[in-house]
Amino acid sequence: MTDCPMPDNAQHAAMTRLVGGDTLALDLIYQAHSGPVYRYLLALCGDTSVAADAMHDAFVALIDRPAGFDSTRGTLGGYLAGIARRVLWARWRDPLHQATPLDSSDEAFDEPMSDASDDPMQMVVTIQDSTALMAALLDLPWIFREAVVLVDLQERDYREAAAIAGIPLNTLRTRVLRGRRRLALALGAKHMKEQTL
Amino acid sequence: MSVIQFPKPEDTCLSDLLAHAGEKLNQEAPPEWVKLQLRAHVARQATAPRQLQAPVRLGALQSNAAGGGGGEFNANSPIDVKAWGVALAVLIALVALMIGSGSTRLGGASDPSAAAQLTRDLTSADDEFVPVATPQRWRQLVPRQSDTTTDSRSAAGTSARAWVVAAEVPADQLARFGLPFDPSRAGEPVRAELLLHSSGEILAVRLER
Repeated sequence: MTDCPMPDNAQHAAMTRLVGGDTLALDLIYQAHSGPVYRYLLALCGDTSVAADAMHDAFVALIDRPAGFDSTRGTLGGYLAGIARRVLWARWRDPLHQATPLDSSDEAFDEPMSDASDDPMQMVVTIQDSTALMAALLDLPWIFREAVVLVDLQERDYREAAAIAGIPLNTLRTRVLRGRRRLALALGAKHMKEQTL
Repeated sequence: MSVIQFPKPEDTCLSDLLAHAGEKLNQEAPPEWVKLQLRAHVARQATAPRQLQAPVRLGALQSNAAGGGGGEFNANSPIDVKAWGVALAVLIALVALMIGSGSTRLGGASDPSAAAQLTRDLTSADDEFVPVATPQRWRQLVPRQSDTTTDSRSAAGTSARAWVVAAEVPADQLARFGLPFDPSRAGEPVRAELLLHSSGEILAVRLER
């Protein structure tokens, strides 16, 4: 299934119809937002069934309480992703991930040893398999993983990503940078890629 | 023979790797069952939002069932989100009860004359609910006003609440409620509305036609 982005007015109309029990409206909203929400969850947890369950619950929450979405505060996709991350967190029982609660302070994590002047995105990594990348990503503390997933894998706008994660924009920027650096080191990064002139 | 050229590890930087992983992630799609379940959920919501959002004061209903008259469902009650959550939890417990041990009380069979009287009383109010709890059980769960004047908790109505919940019941389960069913369609689900006490007990059933 391909994603089908919806313009704002169509989204509003679909929400109105959804409140009235129109399953076709649900199809429109689902087609537009299920893919990004599902992939966001999948990248966070690495488990297709857990991701599907959490996405299901997020949509149910929207159907049951459509008034909870306020279009002046963000996009519907961002709203759904925000609900979904809460659902995911609530049902996730993996001790590894329980160790980093959603509201963890960034200061709780030590900065890995590296040259802070390095741009982690330009660091050369020795592992090229994206499977290995995903494994390394899942080993990151939640707050950094989420930032990298939203910005680098899903290429979401920084503001939307910050809204989904429920953090200030600057905090998100910091988390993205620190997440990339941790990821690069986990993948065996050695040095900056030489820039060709 | 062609030779596959693998790029050297040094050729890759993190940004390239992330971009590649992002593309791979974009090929993932949610399973179809999610959409199907959500459609069913929307359909259920469309047919039952009024009932789910309208807690019922059983004191009034009990008066009606006992022939006192004057009792009605309070369908205009404000939406009670907490009550809604409780009702859904109770519904899950109810389904387990119906499918499982059969411990749900079945009033019609044990006291047919009293149940028939309750049935007449309830259906006379155009509700068409068929009571399935015994009259004794009704009195336990729904104390009359005169029985509870000294009980401040009951006076506040906290122990006498119920909800009308839409559900699909296997046809063969209707017999458990003392209701007729067609054996040739025993496996088919029947849409019904259940009057659930806050304890989880089914008080009455209304079949959708």
